[in-house]
Amino acid sequence: MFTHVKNYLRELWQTTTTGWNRFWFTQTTPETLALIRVLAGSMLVYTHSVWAVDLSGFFGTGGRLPQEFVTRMHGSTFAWSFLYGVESPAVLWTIHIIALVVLLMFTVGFMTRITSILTFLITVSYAHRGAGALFGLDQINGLLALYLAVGPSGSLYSIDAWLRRRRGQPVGSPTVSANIAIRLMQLHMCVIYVFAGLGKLLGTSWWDGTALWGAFANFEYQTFDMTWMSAYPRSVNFITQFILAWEISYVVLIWPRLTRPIMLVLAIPLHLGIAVCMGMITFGLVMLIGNMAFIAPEITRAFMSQCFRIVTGQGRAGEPRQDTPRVNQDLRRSKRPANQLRRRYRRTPA
Amino acid sequence: MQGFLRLFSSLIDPYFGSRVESADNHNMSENQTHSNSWSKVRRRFASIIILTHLTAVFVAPWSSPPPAPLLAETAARVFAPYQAATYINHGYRFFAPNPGPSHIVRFEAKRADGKIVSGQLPDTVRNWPRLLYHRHFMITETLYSYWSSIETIPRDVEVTKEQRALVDRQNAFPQQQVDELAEGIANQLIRKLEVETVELKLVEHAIPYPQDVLDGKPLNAPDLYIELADLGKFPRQP
Repeated sequence: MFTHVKNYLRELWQTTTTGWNRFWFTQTTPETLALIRVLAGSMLVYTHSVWAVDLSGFFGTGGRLPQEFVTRMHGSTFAWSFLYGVESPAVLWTIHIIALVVLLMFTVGFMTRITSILTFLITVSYAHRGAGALFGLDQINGLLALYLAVGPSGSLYSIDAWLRRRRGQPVGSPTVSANIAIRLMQLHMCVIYVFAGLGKLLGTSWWDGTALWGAFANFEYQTFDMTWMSAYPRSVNFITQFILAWEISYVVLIWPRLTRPIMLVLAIPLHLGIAVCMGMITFGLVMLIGNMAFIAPEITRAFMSQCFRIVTGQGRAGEPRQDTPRVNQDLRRSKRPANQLRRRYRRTPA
Repeated sequence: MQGFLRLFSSLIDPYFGSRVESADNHNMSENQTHSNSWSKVRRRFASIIILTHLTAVFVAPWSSPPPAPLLAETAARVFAPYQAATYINHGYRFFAPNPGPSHIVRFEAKRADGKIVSGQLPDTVRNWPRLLYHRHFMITETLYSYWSSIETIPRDVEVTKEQRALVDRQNAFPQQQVDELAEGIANQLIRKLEVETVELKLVEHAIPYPQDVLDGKPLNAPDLYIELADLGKFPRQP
């Protein structure tokens, strides 16, 4: 009996550690991470540009968000911001322009190792200083900036990659850190959806299927009139319960490769619906950017190659990378079973 | 167990990423196959960081109200500094538990020549682009959330001095937040509109029933606006 338990525990430990290592420490190419950098970076540039419409009004002395109010709201000295204590409008504007330049550099992928970390610091600083005027967009911006700083997000589709290619250096090599960044994004998205769904279960309107009416008929959110839905209560019921089911099941159904595409495709009308009907375009789009973490790099590569071909009229982006191990290139090109090719390489290593 | 793992692996993400396949992979143990680029020490160190971070990510919404277990609140106290520093301290309760009514701030400002300027925050026309509108909208919602946590003792209820002092103590923080935010909003309006005084009112915009809308009631019908509080009259600061 004791031996059985011991064997079981040993096997449990071994399989858990194997699974853990496989999940986190597998090397991955950075196509998806790099595309997320471009899109999330653009969103960050836009988000921070909008602060500029009334920069002093939000962050300046005598602004609508007094610093004492903000720090009390956080209730933590760890909610830091380099915008605290900035009183001069000239200094505030100088900081803001530098921040926008850094965000722009990050988006185009210039000196990305440094600018990715600075982007995270800028995002958090503005979010902490702007507390009281924030919503879901800022939360997702923050997590994307964090994970893009973890992985090599600038190693493709960037000025850095272009410069490296010009110098004859390899670009877009598979790395463990790219995998870790993507995995962290994936798990964070799961936590967001599971709590968003479970939180809704506390509300009667999500149970009786009328919650969506509350969103459609909210005058302050409305950009697209959906009140004609009042004539179709069963449709309102269906969409409400469908959203709830999608959010709660996301954490499970996003992982199996058969259900993943379905969940991702369903995310598009859901978030675009929020974007269009409720005027929260930025929030809807940033949630879709977060969902992109579940897109395999191969698909991103194929998509980007197609885009580059359309834009430039040539197929440069689709060419195999210089540093890709030969065995992998051959596996992609050949129709022969992979194990046959691997056997060949075992005899004559590349 | 191994069979189950293989089945599980084949279902979950088997082709994720372009893995580097070395010629020696087949001679290695299962542990080494996918982890050969990072040393064991490095992997262990990274694992501790990943686990700590993911726990912090999970604890933030787990400990967020409404109801949170004591265990979650205890864990939240441990992770609070890290969550605050990295800005991951969120509940993610989007439109939960119910999509509720909106809250706006109506203002009436008086110019030096006696002319009255009135309006509201947020304002779809004045607050453009849409993201700026949402920033203003969130400010009025934040104002409401503090205002709604202020407890009032009904006049006909008799309470002891101690009980009143306790309620006053509990109200001190949200009241201070409401006062300061209202003053900030007022100062900005005075500056932008170049007025001498501004009066603010917190208003709730209720959501109509579907049947009312079917009967022709507009979403901005006057009876849907309920005045909640007079936030005060603010003069131009010298």
